[in-house]
Amino acid sequence: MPRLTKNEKKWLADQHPQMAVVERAKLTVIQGKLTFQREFNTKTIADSYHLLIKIPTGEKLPEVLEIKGRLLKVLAAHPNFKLSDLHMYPNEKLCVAAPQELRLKYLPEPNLRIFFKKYLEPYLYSQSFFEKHDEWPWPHLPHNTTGMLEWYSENSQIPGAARETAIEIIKLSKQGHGAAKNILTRAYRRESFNPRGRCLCGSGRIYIKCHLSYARLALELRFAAT
Amino acid sequence: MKLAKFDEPLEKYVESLSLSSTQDKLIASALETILSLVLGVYPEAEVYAQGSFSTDTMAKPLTANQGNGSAGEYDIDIAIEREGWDAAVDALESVTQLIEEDGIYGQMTIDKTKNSCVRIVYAPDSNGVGFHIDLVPTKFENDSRFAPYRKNNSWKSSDTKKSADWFNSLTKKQPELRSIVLILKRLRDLASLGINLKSVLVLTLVANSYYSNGSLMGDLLAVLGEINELFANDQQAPFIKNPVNPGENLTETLDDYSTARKFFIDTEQQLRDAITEDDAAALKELFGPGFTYVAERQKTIPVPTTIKIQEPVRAYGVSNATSNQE
Repeated sequence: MPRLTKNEKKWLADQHPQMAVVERAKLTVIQGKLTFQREFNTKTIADSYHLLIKIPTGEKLPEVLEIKGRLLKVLAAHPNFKLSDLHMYPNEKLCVAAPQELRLKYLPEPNLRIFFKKYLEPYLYSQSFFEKHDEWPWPHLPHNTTGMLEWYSENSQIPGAARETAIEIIKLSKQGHGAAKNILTRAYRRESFNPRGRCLCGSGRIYIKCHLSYARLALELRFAAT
Repeated sequence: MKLAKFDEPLEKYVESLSLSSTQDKLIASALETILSLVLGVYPEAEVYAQGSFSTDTMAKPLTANQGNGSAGEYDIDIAIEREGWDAAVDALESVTQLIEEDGIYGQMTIDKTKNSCVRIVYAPDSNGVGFHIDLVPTKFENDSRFAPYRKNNSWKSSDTKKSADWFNSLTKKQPELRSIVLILKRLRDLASLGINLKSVLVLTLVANSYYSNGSLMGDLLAVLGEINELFANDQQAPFIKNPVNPGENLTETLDDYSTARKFFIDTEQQLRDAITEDDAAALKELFGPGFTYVAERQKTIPVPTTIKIQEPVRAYGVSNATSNQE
């Protein structure tokens, strides 16, 4: 991603005066307290989080960490929860959206204000909502491969969606996720694009009676895996 | 927030870290005296200051009051460079003899046990601050420089002149480097890590990590962030190569890696927290004597206008999994 522009820095200083920008050789760091007030379905939440946001140069996505352990406290209060249940990666970074979502809809024209308004603040709103009500304000994606497939089924019309989803499924497979590996294997066995093939979602139904869009994904997986 | 608001207090702080005029005079006089003493016996020698003095990064030592009863020390390293030095131990003994036979230095405490130098120890001043001169016989051979290693009577590669030239060439383009080094050395001394975290390592880490932010506070945070990335591994110190001797790992000069690592992590965290809250007291506690900052008048942090979330983006999660799990 390119460095923050003057306007973005000014926007940040005006809107979030408790956050500071620190430039390093290969990334920009935004650190401090983000305060927001958002409303969803008539429920307003005003809250703050201490964050460390790393924005690498190049084609990598921003990474966000909550640095006061607040989300870990929520995790500790739910002994059956894993980090993924709180929509965090195993390294505690916040998963504000599916990676393909950010790659396809955010990265082509990155803008700090959009990152905050569209992705980060709603994510933090949902965390605050969960902390207060013990339920999510809106349904998030399921974890791992299921989440990837669900995102794809809603976004298959976006150019590049199949390819980016395939990349993420392959990453999951390399991390040892069994379902991802199974899906790759099934996709790899396909000899051609066959709408009458068994759907990748594992339902047993054929594509045209299940997720026709997944057939395109199967093809992408086959080629991305080779 | 604009980090430039801390520039003035930080610049004043850096100024306060410079040696006092008395300390400056003592160093100048020591250099002059040693120069004439050495040239009287070794007229062909090249005599020069090395270390922090030569890079202008000598931080004022803490007084006994500032150091919780334990005052710091400052020193000048003086190289006596000749081609004609013989065995390392002989070179050290020659320098020792030179000092012992001097009317003034001969009356002072001379530490003859140091591995690479002969140390003349001055009595502490009224603030308890100590001063010493380290005389380092330096062998110049085949375009390289070597310092003595008493323990096994050998010469080891050591080119502090080149190191100083390297750093000074960087500070010509980026003068803020010097300020960052001084600040970190002071914070190191406040944490009583002067023995563990050698100045040459601090200097190299700063030079390698520096990225201009247009403000001293931004620069300092950037350096700390980079150092903490380098020191991410809590078990194993990274290889920090000596810029003028790439085979040498400067983290081997650390007595205790985990303490040094904790120092950098804690410093960055405390600094980050203090500036987030614009907490003048926390900043003063971190930087110690000589730092004064008045927080901006506590404006109420404006409550943001409520914005509706129209089409929420769904968050995601990846769990740790092995091949049999999902």
